[in-house]
Amino acid sequence: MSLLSLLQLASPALPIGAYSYSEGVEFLSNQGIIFDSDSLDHWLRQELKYGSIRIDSAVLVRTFQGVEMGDFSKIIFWNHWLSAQRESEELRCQSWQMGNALIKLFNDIGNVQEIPLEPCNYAIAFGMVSFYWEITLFDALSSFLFCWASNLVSAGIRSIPIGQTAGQRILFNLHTKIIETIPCILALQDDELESCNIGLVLASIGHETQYSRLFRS
Amino acid sequence: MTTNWQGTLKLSFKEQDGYTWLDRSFASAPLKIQRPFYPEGKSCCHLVTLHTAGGLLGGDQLSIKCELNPRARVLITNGSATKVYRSESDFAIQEISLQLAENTVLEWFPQETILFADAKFKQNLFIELGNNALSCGWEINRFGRTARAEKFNDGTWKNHTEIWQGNIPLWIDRQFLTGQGDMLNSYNGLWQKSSIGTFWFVGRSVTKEMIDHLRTLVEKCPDEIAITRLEKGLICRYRGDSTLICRQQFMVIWHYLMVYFTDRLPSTPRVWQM
Repeated sequence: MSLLSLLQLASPALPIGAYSYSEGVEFLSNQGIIFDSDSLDHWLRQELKYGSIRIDSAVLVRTFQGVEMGDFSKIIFWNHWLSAQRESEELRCQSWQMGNALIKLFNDIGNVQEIPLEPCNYAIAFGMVSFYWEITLFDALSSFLFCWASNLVSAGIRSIPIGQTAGQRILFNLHTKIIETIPCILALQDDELESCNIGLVLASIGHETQYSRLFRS
Repeated sequence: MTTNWQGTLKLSFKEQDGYTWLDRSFASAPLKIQRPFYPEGKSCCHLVTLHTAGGLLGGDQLSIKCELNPRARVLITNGSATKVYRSESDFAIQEISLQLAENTVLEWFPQETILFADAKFKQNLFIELGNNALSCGWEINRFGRTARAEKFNDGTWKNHTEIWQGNIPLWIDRQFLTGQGDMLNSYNGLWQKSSIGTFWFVGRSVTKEMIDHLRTLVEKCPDEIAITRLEKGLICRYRGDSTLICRQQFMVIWHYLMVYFTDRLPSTPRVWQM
């Protein structure tokens, strides 16, 4: 049961709009900074090692634990925290849009728990839904990071462009890195929720004003 | 034998009938203050802080606490750039707490921080806003003594800035950079540049149109600069090789916002080398 829930949550067919965002990748392709498989792979590995996605994942952990303990004030706290921490208006809107869509979907398909939180950041929604769908925290983190990587590879395929097979190769080769990242995320203390995000900041703000583009703000 | 500094600075400002003054202050070495002055009239009190020991060493701990009582308007800068020297392992730590009561305006414009190769520096800047309080400020950092072509090799920088209003965070910025691995070269990090800067304006809602306008004001900047909106304010980021260009661009934004929101054109502190 929980495997199927996990597959459904991680499915690109889940109608929460992930495919319409590139989190800076389109801007970086446009600028020629990401221009092939290797440069896309490098960008993703650096983000996994030092970037903002680790912070989102660490907040997902706190959310999961918050629901587990029935501590909703903790979830509300981290939801505000994440909104205030977003690197750009574009990334904040994306996080809210996807989070709200996931919560609405969760409520609409007949789950008993109603989650009243709006706007709800995506990492928060993902953490709560994972818990209610009886997905383990480790699996939730694996799939959260995998969805992120998969979506940005897909953005790269469309905006660089590179071939589908080249994209799948990047993703496949990231598996080990993703699994290695999880214990680091689980070990992060609140005071260690920091990242090197200046590149992401500039790329996502740059995308807000990019003249012609496939992906939304 | 090395001894470490544990400097403290405590400041409290008050306002009455449109006049803001430094009501109480306490400073312990190596921190000092100059006499407050009023280059733009008595409504806004300017203050220059000084670090008398030249720079920060690993193990140094500086603590700065500043409170603005209701309606006070204050601009704080420092007398020179802050240098952070190399350290084997101990961090130099700077803790700053700014308490802004209701209807206050605090402009916080320290000069650049220069981090030497191998420097270990952590700054926590915590700002609390009362109702209708306004915080405007910047952090400008240079990594390595670029005049000597020095890189930030083996250094570590942690810069945590948070602005809260009641129990709601308005802006949380937790920056981290290390001179190991690829962070100095990758686009994700420094991208082989030497300097990054962050400007913030928090406490008033800003329209999309204003963001568009501000972007046109800095569009000729030769380096990367980007402005985005917060729920209650805006931030601007710079990455390039000139802390001077960074400050000049930030000043354009600062001036525009202050004229628009506080109906005054701020004067440039004389200690800044333009």
